[in-house]
Amino acid sequence: MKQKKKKEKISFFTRVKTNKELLLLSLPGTAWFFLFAYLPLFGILVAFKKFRLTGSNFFTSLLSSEFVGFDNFKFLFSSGDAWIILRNTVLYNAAFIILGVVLPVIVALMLNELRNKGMAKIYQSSMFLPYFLSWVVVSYCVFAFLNPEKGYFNSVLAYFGIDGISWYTEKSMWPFIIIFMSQWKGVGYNTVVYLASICGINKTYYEAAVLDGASKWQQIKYITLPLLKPVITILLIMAVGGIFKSDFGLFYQLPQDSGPLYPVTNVLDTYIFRALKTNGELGMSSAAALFQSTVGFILIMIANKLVSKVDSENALF
Amino acid sequence: MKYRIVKRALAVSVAAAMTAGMLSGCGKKTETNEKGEEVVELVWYQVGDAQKDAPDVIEKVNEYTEEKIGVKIKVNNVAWGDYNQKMQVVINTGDDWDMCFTCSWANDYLQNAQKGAFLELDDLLKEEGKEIYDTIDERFWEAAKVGGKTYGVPSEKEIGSCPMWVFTKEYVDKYNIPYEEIETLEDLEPWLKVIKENEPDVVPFYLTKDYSAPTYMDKIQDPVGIEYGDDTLTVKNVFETDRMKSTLKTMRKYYEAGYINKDAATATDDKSIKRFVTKGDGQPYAELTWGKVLGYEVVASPIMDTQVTNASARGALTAINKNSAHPEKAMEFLNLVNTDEYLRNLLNYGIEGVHWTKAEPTAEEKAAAEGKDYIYDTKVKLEPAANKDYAVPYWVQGGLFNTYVLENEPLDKWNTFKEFNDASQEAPSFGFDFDLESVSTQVAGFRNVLDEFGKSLYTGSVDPDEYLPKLQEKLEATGIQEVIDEMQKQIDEWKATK
Amino acid sequence: MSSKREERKKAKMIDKMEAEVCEYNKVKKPTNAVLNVILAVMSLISILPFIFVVIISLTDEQTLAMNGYQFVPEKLSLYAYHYIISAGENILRSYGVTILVTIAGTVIGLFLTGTYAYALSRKTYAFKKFFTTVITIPMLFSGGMVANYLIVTKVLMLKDSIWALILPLCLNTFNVIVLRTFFKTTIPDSVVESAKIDGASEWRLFFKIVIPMAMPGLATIGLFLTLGYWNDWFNAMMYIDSQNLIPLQYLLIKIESSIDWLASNKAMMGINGIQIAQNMPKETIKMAIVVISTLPIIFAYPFFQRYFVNGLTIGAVKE
Repeated sequence: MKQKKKKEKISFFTRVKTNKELLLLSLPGTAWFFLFAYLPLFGILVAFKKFRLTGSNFFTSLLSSEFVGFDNFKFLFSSGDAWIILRNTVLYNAAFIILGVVLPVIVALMLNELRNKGMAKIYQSSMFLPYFLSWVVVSYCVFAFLNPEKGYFNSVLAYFGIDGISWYTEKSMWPFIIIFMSQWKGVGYNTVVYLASICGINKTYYEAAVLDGASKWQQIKYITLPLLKPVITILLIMAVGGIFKSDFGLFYQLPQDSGPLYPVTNVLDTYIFRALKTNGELGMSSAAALFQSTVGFILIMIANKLVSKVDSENALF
Repeated sequence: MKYRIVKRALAVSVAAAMTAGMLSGCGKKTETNEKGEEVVELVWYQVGDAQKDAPDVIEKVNEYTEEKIGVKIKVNNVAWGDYNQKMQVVINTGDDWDMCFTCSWANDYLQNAQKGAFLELDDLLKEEGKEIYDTIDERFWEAAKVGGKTYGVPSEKEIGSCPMWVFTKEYVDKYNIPYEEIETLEDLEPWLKVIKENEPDVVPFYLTKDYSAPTYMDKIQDPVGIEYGDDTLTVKNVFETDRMKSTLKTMRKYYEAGYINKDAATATDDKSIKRFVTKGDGQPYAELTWGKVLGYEVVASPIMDTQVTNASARGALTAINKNSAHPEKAMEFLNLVNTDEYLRNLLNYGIEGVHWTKAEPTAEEKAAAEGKDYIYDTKVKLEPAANKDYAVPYWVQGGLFNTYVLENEPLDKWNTFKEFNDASQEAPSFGFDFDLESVSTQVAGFRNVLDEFGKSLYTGSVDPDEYLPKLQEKLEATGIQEVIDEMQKQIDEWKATK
Repeated sequence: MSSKREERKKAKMIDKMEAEVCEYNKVKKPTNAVLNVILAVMSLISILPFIFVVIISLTDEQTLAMNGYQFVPEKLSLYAYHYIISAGENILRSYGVTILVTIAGTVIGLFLTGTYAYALSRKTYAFKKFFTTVITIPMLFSGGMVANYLIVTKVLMLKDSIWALILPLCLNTFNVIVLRTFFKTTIPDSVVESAKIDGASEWRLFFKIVIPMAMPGLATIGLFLTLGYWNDWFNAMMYIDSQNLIPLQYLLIKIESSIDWLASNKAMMGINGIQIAQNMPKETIKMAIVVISTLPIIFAYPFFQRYFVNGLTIGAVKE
């Protein structure tokens, strides 16, 4: 027993010794994570406390505040709509995760195959533009199209003799609008990773394939996509962790916070925002975030396990 | 070799950054003024954008206050939209701040007081703050009490806001409408009909998504509260009161008759749309402001008597940090701001001769205002070019009644405000604070339900027969009954001590 | 002399061969046309709102109030830009802050992300799993705003300092993992191993071999960092009190959030809210700020795009 322990100890030190240089490379980043990510983690405790300013600062107040167990989490499930909200959150995110891989990969492949490289650059740059506009600004622009009184869409409908649609109360359109707008904003940004990965692929593969008489399609299928797999896999695993989180502006600003649309636009983040608007209880917002993170963490672990069973090279751990 | 240089450079820069940080943290040195008193610096958080010329104005303020009471201030301005979030962080962190703006609608006064963020001021008000305690209307002080203790110095201004019908003067004149007699929602009907029939381009009753139907209740915890005039203090859900039920039916009737714009529940105010009447929350001289915004004259008539509630009387206060190192100095300073004519106007309008100049009121005006309260023998003429570099929301810094009025305003403006305040009735629930701690889970669910149905119901966009039950059902699911019961319990206890 | 000429000749021949192969391996012209059409439509949809924003910033304020947003406004005006130029100082200073923060942050960020990701990408690294876990936890869990504020202002003493705009953003899990994957897929083990046999240290290996080979990956992360810094306003809102340290984006976001907030608290604030709203910058000015804060960053993309060429081949490194 004693001997075994000793052995481990020695092996740990030797491991440190042999990995000295790599450890040194890890050091600056680790220091950053320690200071900016791990030190503040004590704040999670507030999710289980009824926070009151009893001390002179947050830390001392936190320690002396009353422990309330899971009370702060209750509000997440107290509403009759909890089920609808969870459903919306998960379904939208599922759509985003899938489209967030499929569309950018297709766009990256198209851009890569263009004969006129100059145009490719122009396309790439323009598709990047939406990323820079905030949801508030985007919502103004969308309003110019969907505005029931003066909007462009209703004017077009009127031109063809069709009655205008009250876009901001008609909920059946919104799942489509939201998914469309999310991809509109994200596709340029998401394409970059894949484009860079394709550039990183060694040219000799293609040369060899051409000599073997492979068609373009075959090259994509047998060279490009398999070589993109590691990036796709890792991005998917990370995306799964965000399944309970959502882009607040997309669900709040874009539909102009319109009540009749709630059944299809209310997601966890908007629900939490509204719930805490009247009641700024620190513990409750912390509890909400912790709940979202914990679910995300569990899902990442599961996804990682699944991937590593099939293909351990490409897993997160 | 290179790597060693990189490493050394990194080490040096990190060390430099650290010391720079430390120095700025501990750079305070003691100063004294001419009287030999130690000068202390107070950090004051205010809502509203920082003004370009603020540093100059604050320098002037400091010159004056340093001499007078040994205080210097450092003002931190936070944008309107960020104030709640930033103050939540600053206050809960226990950051270095001495005074901050607080009220019922931003940086919530009640919650902060209940959670122990603010200093109890009652003792200080007997000493350093005695002057303001005596001059400011006692109802403001009453409203500032939470659980019997005072946690903020109120800015004296209008004590309540008064819901009003705002009519476009053009149509009032054209159809000879006796607008002053119009009071309730129902009173509007014949005139809406007239406009609908005769003015096809005009929206008779123009509403936007922030409209809420006339409510005869102090919604202590929206939608739960006490009806105005109910001295039995029975806690109710506003959507279960007969008054609200009939109001919503009337709104629906108007909507179906085409009096209300179709997109009311989602619209934002589009000034190009011609309207006959809309609803506004008013105070003395509100017509002037509305008219200025719209670009044409309007007239207004109050929907009900102005009611004083906790929320309305807590329109603007300044609180002192519980952990402030210089609470007495802070109180002394607030006292000075609210009583000193020079300091108050300096903070309000900026530097005389730069941002504004004095303007002499006419003799007639002076004669007319003779004997009234809050009359000053000078008015303010703003310098348009410089003024835009120092335009602050007046009530954030202190009371309004000791500021000069603007050139184009009546000399007795503040006297009118005072009369308005005196004429305002106290709601039966005035002075009662709800502690929502035990029902915070239930309350958290309210907003989502109210936002989902409220706007559509208030504007008549949906049928109340169908949607009111839906709303009730959801409110019940979130536990509204428990909130009503808890509030009733608390209000009964409060009543017993009154 | 002659051998050099021969070599050059050989190189020329290889180039020619490659060019032929490339030409052969391009998509057919009709396919190319179809791809162009699809991409052009997508680009158009992407630019449209931005063009809209530019037009609105050039619309006459009065016309905007009367007619709402229009692609072809009745009356144009340069008022918004005049206004901004007259208030110039602030905007120029904010530009300065943003550019400084963006450049410094991207450089520091690339160093931290690169070193950390490289170590993780090495198969032989014994602590790979541990250091991956170290970064995975903060990807999901955070101590919340108040705890962050406490650490940054009271422990790290960064309140109201430009470092508060730089340091909190320079490293994140997503970038590390993406870069790690890039390293893993673009750098063959054989290269690393042979360099190690030659006696190169890990640092040398990283700077001399890995960085040149992984340029597309580093450019991607550099781009992400640049955009992150350029678009950041949250840290400014939290940690900055001095007016001369406010970055461009926060100037804009401040206006947006305030207008939004005033609109939703209209009933509570009554007349006061209307008066404040009147002092807020008008719509056209807001849009003009959007334009001037977005234009420069548009050029960041082509800058990083230059590195999206195939990384150096193994042979080049060995020479």
